[in-house]
Amino acid sequence: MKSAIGAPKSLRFLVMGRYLLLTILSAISVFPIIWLFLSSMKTQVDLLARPPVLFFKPTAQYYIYCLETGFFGSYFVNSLIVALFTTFFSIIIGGLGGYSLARLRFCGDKFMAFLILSFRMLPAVTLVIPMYLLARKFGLVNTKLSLIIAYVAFNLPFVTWMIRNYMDTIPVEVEEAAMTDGASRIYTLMRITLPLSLPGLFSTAIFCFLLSWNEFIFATSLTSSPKAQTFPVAVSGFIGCRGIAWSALAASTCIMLLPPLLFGIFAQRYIIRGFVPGAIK
Amino acid sequence: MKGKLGVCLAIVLIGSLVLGTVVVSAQTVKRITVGLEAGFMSDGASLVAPDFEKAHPDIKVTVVPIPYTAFRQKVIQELSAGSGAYDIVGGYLELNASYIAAGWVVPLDKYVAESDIDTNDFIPSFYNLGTLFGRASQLNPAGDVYGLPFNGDVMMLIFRKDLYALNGLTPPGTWEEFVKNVTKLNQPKDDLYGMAVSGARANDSHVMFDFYSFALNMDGTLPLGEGNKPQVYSPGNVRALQLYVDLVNKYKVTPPGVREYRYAEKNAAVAQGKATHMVQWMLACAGELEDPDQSRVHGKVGYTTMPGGGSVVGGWSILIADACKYPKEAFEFLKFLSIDSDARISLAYGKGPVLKSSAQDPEMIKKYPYIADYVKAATNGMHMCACSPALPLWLEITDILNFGFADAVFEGVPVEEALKHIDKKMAELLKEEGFLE
Amino acid sequence: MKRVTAIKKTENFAEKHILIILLVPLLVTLCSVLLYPLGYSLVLSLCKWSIARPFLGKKFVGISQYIKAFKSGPFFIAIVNTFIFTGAAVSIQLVLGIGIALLLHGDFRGRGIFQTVLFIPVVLTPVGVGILWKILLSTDIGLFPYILSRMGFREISLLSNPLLAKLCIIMVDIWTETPFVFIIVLASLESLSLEPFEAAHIDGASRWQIFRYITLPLIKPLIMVVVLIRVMDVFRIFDTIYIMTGGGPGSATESVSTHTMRVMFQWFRTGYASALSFIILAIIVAMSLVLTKALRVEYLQVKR
Repeated sequence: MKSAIGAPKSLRFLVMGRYLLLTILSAISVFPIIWLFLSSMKTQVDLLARPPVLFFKPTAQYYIYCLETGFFGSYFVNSLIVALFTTFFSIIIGGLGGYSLARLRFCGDKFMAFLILSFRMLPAVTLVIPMYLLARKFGLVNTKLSLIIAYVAFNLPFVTWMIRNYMDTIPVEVEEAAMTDGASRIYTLMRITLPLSLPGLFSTAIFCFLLSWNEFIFATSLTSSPKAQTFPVAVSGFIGCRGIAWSALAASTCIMLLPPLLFGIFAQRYIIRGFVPGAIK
Repeated sequence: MKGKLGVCLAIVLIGSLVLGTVVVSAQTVKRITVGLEAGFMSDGASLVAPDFEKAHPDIKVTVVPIPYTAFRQKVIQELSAGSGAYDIVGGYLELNASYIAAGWVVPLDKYVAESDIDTNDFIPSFYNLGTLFGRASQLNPAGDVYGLPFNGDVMMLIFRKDLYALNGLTPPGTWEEFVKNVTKLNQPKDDLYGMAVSGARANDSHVMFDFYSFALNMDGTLPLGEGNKPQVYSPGNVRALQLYVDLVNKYKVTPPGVREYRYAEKNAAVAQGKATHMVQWMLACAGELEDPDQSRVHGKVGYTTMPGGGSVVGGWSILIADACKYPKEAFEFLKFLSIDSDARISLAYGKGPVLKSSAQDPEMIKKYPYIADYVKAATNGMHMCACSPALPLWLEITDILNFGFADAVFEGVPVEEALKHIDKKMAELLKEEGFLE
Repeated sequence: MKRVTAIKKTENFAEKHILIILLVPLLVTLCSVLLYPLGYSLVLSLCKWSIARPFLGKKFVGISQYIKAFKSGPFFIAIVNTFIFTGAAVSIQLVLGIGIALLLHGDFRGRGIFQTVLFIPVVLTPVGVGILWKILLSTDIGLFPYILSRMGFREISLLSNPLLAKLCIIMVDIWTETPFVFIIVLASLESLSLEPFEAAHIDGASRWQIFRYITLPLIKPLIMVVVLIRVMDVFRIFDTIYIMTGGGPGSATESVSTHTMRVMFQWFRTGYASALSFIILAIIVAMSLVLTKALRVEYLQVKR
């Protein structure tokens, strides 16, 4: 397959050059993560040693510490619950809205542009401040519910946009065919459009889950105790400790990065669809 | 496919709902959440909490460590919202003033009266953290007790006694001797530096403490005088700031990266054998410096007062939040933590004891041979803002001080100009908030 | 055909109704959890309220908070810093991203693995990214300061030197977000039809000429969108700075978001913080309008 760069790739020199560059870049990409993992297996003394030790006796004590202290159990669960509920509500609300906007051509476009711009332009800070104050007002500070509401609010424009784009790829004709045969719009939606859009919905769900899992600024403002605090906030709590608990920090970060890492490796295709504006397949 | 996906989704959702409900419904016990600074304070509380729970089977205690850099933020965030995230909170004098002024904490007088606490056993300067020094404070004129002392400490001069012995030095009695000692033990080629000071231009910086450790012994003045008038610019303070500036820029005895230093970094510098002197909270750092797992200089560290003998005194108390559902039970834990566990936590971690009786405990004397000096310094020492009313603005004043001093040391702002600038900013702030005419 | 159209016409009315009904949950949700809080905050930006000192109450002060913001030295520093980060990070990411996309374009062995490995940084939790770079860059345990000190730079402390700290923040953003750029560019490259390239190749054009005169113009619309998105994203940077330097040393790495969060959650001056947050929003909106015009961005890239 000829590439858009042109020139046949039979020149071995070019091929080697490409592989070399890619290898270097990949190393840069992956090295910090590997270093993190190595650091998480070192004892505090090893970590602080100068020169940095390359060969050391690995220890899993910090992982055990993380897993044993009930804290990390609850923080992980909190993150999970918040992410799942956020995804659930975002998909339903965004799904219905996205579908409707996909079919309502003339006003859908303008509204869509407005929505997607607002997502990209709105700084989290601008929403965090009133979210915190309103949570205070309604007694929702330090609850998972407040986080779910905040995340849904912040992600909804984007989710709607993604789903609308998928719905766009489902030809109107298919629906019309069903409706010609006497099916109602709702029935068509459930039985025909929905199954066809499942890959898209799945992509959106993964993206939504990741956004929620990785979120920090809302979580740190709205939650403070094991009751509702999410994992990134708990991990950030290791910083600024007396003597900075580097090893524990590294271990807990590894745990925290595990879901995104797994998603990144195995669900790459789905996540990419959330990046690419427009329905480029 | 749709069916299977739907079933999966349903299971996951129901599972999470069940999980959430289970967690919530385990409420037959009374839960008390304690928010303390991460480190020896939260570790100490975690150490003794199980014993408390054993003695009180209907109470469950959860200790939440909050890092110092986020402490003010987290606690005020939760207390002001009345969220009940923390039932018991820690606080130092300035934070306590904020809590009390805003009405976020519960007065403890009636609980103290009902119990058999001997308030005379507390070292006065630590006990007074919870009363804002009684009638001296316009925020608490009646002198009500809001918090029991939990941790006390004194800023002392920490030095490497092994290197002193090697070089024939003695603990400095004058500032000239101090400079001499510090420059003698400064060998940058061997990665050894004279003194670790704080330099971070940040809210939790230690610049202010380092500065006042010098200033209080050089006839320096406290930040606010009569009628809240800023008086940072004074001859004594000028001398002190000049010494600070010189240590970094003229004598060059500070390690690289000192600009980033806050509390933890100073300790690390000495613990790793990089710096030979520092001014630090004595007992807090002793816990780290004498721990073979964390420190390379354990057993080699000496503690003495600054030349002049004056020291900055600090400490933390524990208070009960207004939103606490079980104040009586919370007080039980407060008492347990403050009094019953005082010596125990002090022996296990570097917590400064708050009871006079703890200082007489033979185990304590064995572990901290200088404990009599500690009590003396604590009794005579200066609380940073104790001589002026504990204003609810103290947190912002701390920022102005930290930033202003750091500018003189690291941004090349001339000493006199920096101090005058601090006074100016403080006056602006106080006027704006109505504390200054 | 005619029959279908006829049905479509009569169905149009009812169908629009149902579609609008489906839209309702979205609109209701957006209004209540997005627009309402923003409106609340806007009103608040006209008041002076410090929740750490509730006894002082809420006072209406008009636009004085905004004026205060314009006079504020620290905020100005934050704005300058943020523009520096944005400009540097986006431009470098763009070039790198296009380069990587060109490297990955085409069929060759191992491409999938390379793509996956290069992709990973962008999905990681920003807090995690901040931590892992802090571990590499911090003076205490960092590998990089150690290497530098071996190379003779004794006094260098990466995260506590104002200039170097800025560079580190920029570098971390580049490391994290370049995959975003290259993925999009790559997708774009692969969707291009081959004819112009074959024709150019037959005509004997060099690789660079093909790239400059054919590839680049064809993918330009998408690149412009990417630039716009990245600019708006970097401007809002918060997590990594908070973790790595907390805005320091001094205010060297303070961004508009970290400054506003500080005003809100360390000083608890809610009215002023609200005003700042809206100023940030206004700056971003203004920037995007300017960039849209300048780069001729098309928002609706949907293939019908």
